[in-house]
Amino acid sequence: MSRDDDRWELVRRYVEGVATANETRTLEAAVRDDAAFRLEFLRYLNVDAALGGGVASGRFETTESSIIASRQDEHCTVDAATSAHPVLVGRGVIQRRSRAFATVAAMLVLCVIGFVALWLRRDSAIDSPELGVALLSSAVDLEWAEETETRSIGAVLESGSLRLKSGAALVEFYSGSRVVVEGPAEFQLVSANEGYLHSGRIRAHVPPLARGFTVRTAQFDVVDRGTEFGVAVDRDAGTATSEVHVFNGLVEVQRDSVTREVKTGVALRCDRNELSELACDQTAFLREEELQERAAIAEQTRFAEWDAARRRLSADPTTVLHEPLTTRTIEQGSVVGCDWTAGRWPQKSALLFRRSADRVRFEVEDSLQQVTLLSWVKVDAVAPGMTVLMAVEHERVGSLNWLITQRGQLRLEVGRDLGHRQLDWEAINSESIVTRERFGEWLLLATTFDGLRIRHFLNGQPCGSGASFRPPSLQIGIAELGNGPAPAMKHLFGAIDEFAIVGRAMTEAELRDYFEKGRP
Amino acid sequence: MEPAELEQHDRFLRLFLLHEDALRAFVRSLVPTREDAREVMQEVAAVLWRKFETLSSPDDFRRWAFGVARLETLEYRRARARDRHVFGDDVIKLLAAAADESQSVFEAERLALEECLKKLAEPQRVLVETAYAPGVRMDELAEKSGRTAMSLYKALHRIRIALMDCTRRVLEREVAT
Repeated sequence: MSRDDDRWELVRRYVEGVATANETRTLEAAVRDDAAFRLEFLRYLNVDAALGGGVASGRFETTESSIIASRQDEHCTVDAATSAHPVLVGRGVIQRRSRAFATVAAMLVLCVIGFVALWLRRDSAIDSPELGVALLSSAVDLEWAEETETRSIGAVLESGSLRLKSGAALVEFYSGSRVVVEGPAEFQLVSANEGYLHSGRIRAHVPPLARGFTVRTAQFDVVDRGTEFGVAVDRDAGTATSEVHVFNGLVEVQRDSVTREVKTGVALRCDRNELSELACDQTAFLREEELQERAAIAEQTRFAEWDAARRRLSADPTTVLHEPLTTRTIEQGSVVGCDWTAGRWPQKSALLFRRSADRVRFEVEDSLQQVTLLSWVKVDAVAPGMTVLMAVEHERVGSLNWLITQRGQLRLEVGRDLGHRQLDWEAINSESIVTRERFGEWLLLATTFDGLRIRHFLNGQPCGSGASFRPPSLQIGIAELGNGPAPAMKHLFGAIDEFAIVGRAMTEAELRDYFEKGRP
Repeated sequence: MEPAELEQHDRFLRLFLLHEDALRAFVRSLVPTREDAREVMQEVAAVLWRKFETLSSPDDFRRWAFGVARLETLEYRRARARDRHVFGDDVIKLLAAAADESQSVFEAERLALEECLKKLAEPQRVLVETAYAPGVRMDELAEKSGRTAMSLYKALHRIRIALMDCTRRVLEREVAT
């Protein structure tokens, strides 16, 4: 049985607790239908279980004590009571035959983490390879051919086709080449320094280090020798016509193993296999500077639109807290640590969360019967465990924690009393929405609770809901943004551009509208 | 604790420790993560201790303990079915049955593990010892070792598979001799 097949990757993700619903279903099918795989799966878990037990009991400890004795890590914190073995409390403590040894082993192992760093560095780190070839750095009036193919400004683009219905986009290839794509167009990103224009027009600026940037069409290949050119492919009437215009410098046009040099001011046209020279037309191809100018105007318009919308939200009598971050200040709380950074537009700011100390502390004294938690967030990475959007300091019945799970689900927890010693939490998760493809993108995350049902929204669209118990009231009290008190809660790794708590459950229409008015 | 209770406690401990590895492996096979298994084992241990007096004979302990483990696992899965991606009941039954059948093989493989661990290269062995230590957090370990958590997870995965292959070879060798 090959250990490299995809199923074992699923097993790895499953035991780490990061498998998506689809991945779990796929693994489940394999376990159900393949008896031999089922057995191997159990053997794997057997090893995992045994390692856990063996290491904790000290049975497997083999590290030389002399290595450990010679090095003390001053950051070593050890809880001597920690043990993987169940400890029964109540009427007496279980005396473990191996417990003393287990404790010592645990201490030694934990202290050795600092030293272990040297050992581990010897192994080469294997990270998932970066698949991007370009960045979508700017756009104006952009409409995608398919809703599903929409990319956001700032998104990393992997190799594949960009299909624009209308508008224009600025694509920065990793090689440094900058291409303005004008819709309607289909432009395929082939690699970090190559594209294929199926239809539409592009204008490329190629800096010296990216010389050799190539744009292919059905008729010919254009290889840049510095610096600026445009390519247009017209697919009317069944046949394709390709043109290349050289605005500055020189390109090589290769066709049927014949290479022609085309210089500044000259254009070449291939129409039904006939090549002809024309005068180059600067105005027919959108310049990057023009795109940026129009983008800046569009940006200003969108900022103004959001500004009006956010004032309306602040003025809403049910709004309990609203931090629009239009300037580098928090009105109703205090910032600890966080650096300030640019927000959705250059005209506004956002708070950057990077370190374990970063947080915003605030207080909401009101008891609420309904709530909407709303925030424009940029998540740069999701840690294992729970990432905090908002967490309360004092946990009571009706307390609210707003989190992102390690699977990228939005999660609202409501404190409830089920008669256990510790407070229980009723929680509803959304679908997986904060996934890798959305890292680095500004997202409008919102969760509403009307006392009966918790609803999650991504960019104004519902993405999961569930019924919840009804607490006497909802409590926030003193709380933190982007960080939380419990050890299981990890701080946000990203940025927050706006945050609001509204004392009623906003409707889907309202949230969609707030998204439309505020999208960058 | 009173002397009579201490004795009871001792008897329980002896029995529990005897079967703990097998119980843990059984529980592990029915829940996704090690953390899940740890939580279930705590509940299992608590229930077994609470109801220890009801046990008529030490010979029944193993079967009884496995029964409790089965129930606690089901309860745990039920409570988390809403927000965890778990296998369906039918698949869990298949896994439990297969785990039951192969109990002795799995035990032999667990025993062979000690030898196989010694065969690991130093960096791998140290990684196992630190990653499996109680209370260790992968993100901290990642930060301190200058690697990403992802690379550590992948390394541990490869090590487990290597250990699986090794224990199989050890058992085959023992059968041959």
